[in-house]
Amino acid sequence: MQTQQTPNRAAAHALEADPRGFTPSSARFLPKEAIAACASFRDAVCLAWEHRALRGMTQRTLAEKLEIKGSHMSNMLNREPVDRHGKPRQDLPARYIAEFEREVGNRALSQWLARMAMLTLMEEVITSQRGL
Amino acid sequence: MTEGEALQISRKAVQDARKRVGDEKNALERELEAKAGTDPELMTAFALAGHLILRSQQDQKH
Repeated sequence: MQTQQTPNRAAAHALEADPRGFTPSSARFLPKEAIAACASFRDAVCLAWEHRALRGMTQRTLAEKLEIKGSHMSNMLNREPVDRHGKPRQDLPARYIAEFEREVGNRALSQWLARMAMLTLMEEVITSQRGL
Repeated sequence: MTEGEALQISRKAVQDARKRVGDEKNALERELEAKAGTDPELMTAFALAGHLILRSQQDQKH
């Protein structure tokens, strides 16, 4: 799958300027179709990891950089939301998003968050208007 | 931009888009994507709102 530098200049600038520091300015954006195909935050985390800028980066390296236990990192980067015993796997905590994006070198999580918020608020507005 | 402002901007954008294209979800989604693609403030607002929603979901799990 190809990556693209920005979905468009204005949107890219907006995400780069974000005060929570989601972003390195050199980070790549992934195609919006790939983001739309992510059904969950876990899927987006895995997508971002699969498209990491440094292909040689291991889960262990990422865990060390984020100061997360290796076993936890492995769970966070697993597509399956539950383990073989049916126990839910931990998701990447939101507080790690900025650093995760810096390390993998792409903006997939911010892109997914923006889309998720848009869809959530769409549902909220439609439901509330119908209830009037 | 605070998270409260981000939610406010995002909600207003959805309400405005709904006035333009109605309740059909695909049309609404296309309209909002187009708007966010040309409006840096709205794109930032959506990303911040998403961060807030995710944090809230994760806090509820603990």
